[in-house]
Amino acid sequence: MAEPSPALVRRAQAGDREALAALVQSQQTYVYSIAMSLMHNPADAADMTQEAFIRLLRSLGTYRAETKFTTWLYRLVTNICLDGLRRRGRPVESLDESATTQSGEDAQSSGERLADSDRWSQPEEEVTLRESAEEVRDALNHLPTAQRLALTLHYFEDMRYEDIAEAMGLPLNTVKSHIRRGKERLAVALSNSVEV
Amino acid sequence: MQCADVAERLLVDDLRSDPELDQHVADCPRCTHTARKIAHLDAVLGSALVVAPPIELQQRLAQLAVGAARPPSVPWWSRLGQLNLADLLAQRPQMVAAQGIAAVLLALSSWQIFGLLSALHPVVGDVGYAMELVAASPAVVYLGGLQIDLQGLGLWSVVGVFGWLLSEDGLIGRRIASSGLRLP
Repeated sequence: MAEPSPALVRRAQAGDREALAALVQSQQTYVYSIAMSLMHNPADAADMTQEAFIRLLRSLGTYRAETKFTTWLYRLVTNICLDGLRRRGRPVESLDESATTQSGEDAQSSGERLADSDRWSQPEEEVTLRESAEEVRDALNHLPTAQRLALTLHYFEDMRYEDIAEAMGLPLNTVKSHIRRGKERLAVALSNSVEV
Repeated sequence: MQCADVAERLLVDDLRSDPELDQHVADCPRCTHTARKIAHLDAVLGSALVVAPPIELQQRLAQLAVGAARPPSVPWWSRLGQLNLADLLAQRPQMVAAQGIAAVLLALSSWQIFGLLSALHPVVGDVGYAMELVAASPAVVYLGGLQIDLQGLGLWSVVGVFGWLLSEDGLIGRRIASSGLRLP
């Protein structure tokens, strides 16, 4: 489960070694995934993940349980990664700027586009899945930052749209739009028979 | 329900257990296919976007957690002011033993001080004679030997306490460990 129990968080705040280890272990995959989503390469993502956990462990005492712990943490990680991009002189897209600027995707309904290709209904699903994971990685790199981050959070365990909106600091409908458009773009990008 | 609405809801809705939606997906081959594709897309994206960190990073993060569990480094003289006497004097076996030894040492030292004062000021009564009688008794000879034993015990206790202070859990040892130095 992604969200740690309040008791575990309280023990970690009190400096309990086992609780801190459990907290870090339970969140490291999610934090690294966010960092990968924003930084695009494993080395930078590892740096940002480490920095995020250093900041987390220093500021754990300031967490007041007014929001979900994961929401608080993922927002912290997102901000650290965006700062990291700025420090590296890389372009930083605003998270809410790409929701309304899509390249003609709305010309056709999502249902029509997704139903166009039979490619993913092949019987060799396992093989296709592995191959698709490689293709998806490439396709993801072409998504706007906000869509990629929203999709990443969307696939975390127990993350609701409201939690994603809070973690990204965006309105709920904008987050839904990011996720829908992101899926549509990926569905098209990963289909050989592109009929957009 | 229109097919376009179904695709929209399949793409963004949290709750997929809508009977009307399920019925439409079951009845409409086009939406069945779309639902299958979206499910497949979810599986592929889920495995591509949620990735475990490399082992080296996991090890570094585990070390960070262990490091954070240590209490902040505070000079031992600052911690003296924060000592909680109630905790220190809690009834533990070693504390009971230490308190017993302290009581015996206090009694012996009181007796010596009393004797010294009596020798210096033999004014009230015949204290000197009484002390001579007491000092000559076998019990006092035995106590004299016991006193030497207790002094030795006290001395070694001081050595033990000093060793504990230098150990990893001791006041000085913890400070040395947190500063990155290692004892030889």
